[in-house]
Amino acid sequence: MAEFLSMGGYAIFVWPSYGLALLVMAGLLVQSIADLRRQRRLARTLESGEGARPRRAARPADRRESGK
Amino acid sequence: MKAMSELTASQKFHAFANPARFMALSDKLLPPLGLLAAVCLAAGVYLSLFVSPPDYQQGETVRIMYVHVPSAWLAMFGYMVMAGASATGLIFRHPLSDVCAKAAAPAGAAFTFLALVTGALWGEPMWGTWWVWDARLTSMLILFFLYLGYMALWATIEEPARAGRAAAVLALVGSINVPIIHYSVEWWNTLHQPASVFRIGGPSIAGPMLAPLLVMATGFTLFFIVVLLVRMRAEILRRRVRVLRLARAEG
Repeated sequence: MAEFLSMGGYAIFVWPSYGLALLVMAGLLVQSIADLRRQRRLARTLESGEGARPRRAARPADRRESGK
Repeated sequence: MKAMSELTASQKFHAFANPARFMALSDKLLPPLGLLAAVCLAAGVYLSLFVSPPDYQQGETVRIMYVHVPSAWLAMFGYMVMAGASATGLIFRHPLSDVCAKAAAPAGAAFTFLALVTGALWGEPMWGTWWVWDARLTSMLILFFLYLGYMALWATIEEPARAGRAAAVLALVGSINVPIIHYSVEWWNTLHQPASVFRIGGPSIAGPMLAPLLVMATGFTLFFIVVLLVRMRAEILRRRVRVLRLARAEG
């Protein structure tokens, strides 16, 4: 085990390579998924009406204004 | 007046037809692709760290190559995806082109960064230096800055259609760097070794080292595609959010 970890004396070059690859790739994936979730949430909120305002209440008012 | 409103409606339909199809398709493709990427990466790491023998010249540092070489390939592949999508975006105005080009950039930049750093980590014990300003290393550094410039341009221009066109021009101008990177080891005297997999006469790497490299490269490529699809989905939704917000602000 110790021999494996020592990487023939090159441990300080080999392990940072793998560690950094893991860190960068995991970071990229996590950030991408987090952004996707955020955009999905925003899109749903906007599509389901005007956020906190109920949909039904807004519509007749719109129609009255544009109907003139 | 009526005809015009019909035209914009049909244009809207045309613009949204393909992204809608893309959303449905990518939703189905992502779970199996993600699983496949995870399996390939796990197998690749296992082969690289436990199965591959040490190289007779490089010793154990050859294991750095199993991360470095796929990263460098993906750095180039990412730019080709970005430039290819940019070209189709400029020529055909396909609504997904800009989305694809924009989504490829951060992934390509990440792999370019990995290629540069793992290259330095290999160069110090094997060449005796972290960095040299030779053709291959310098052109890879330029690739990294091209990615950063491309992303900065997207971030600067607010309107997606205009940002996409400007960024596409930058991506196409910068694509001259891709063949320079590839041929840099032949055109100039560099410290970097020439290609040993994609070469005339086939790979010159021994089988026990070629296998981990190829499995790792497959895993990296699948991972890139997964990230690309996730980012494209996010970008399509971002645009929908933008349109909905503008519509709300106007009416």
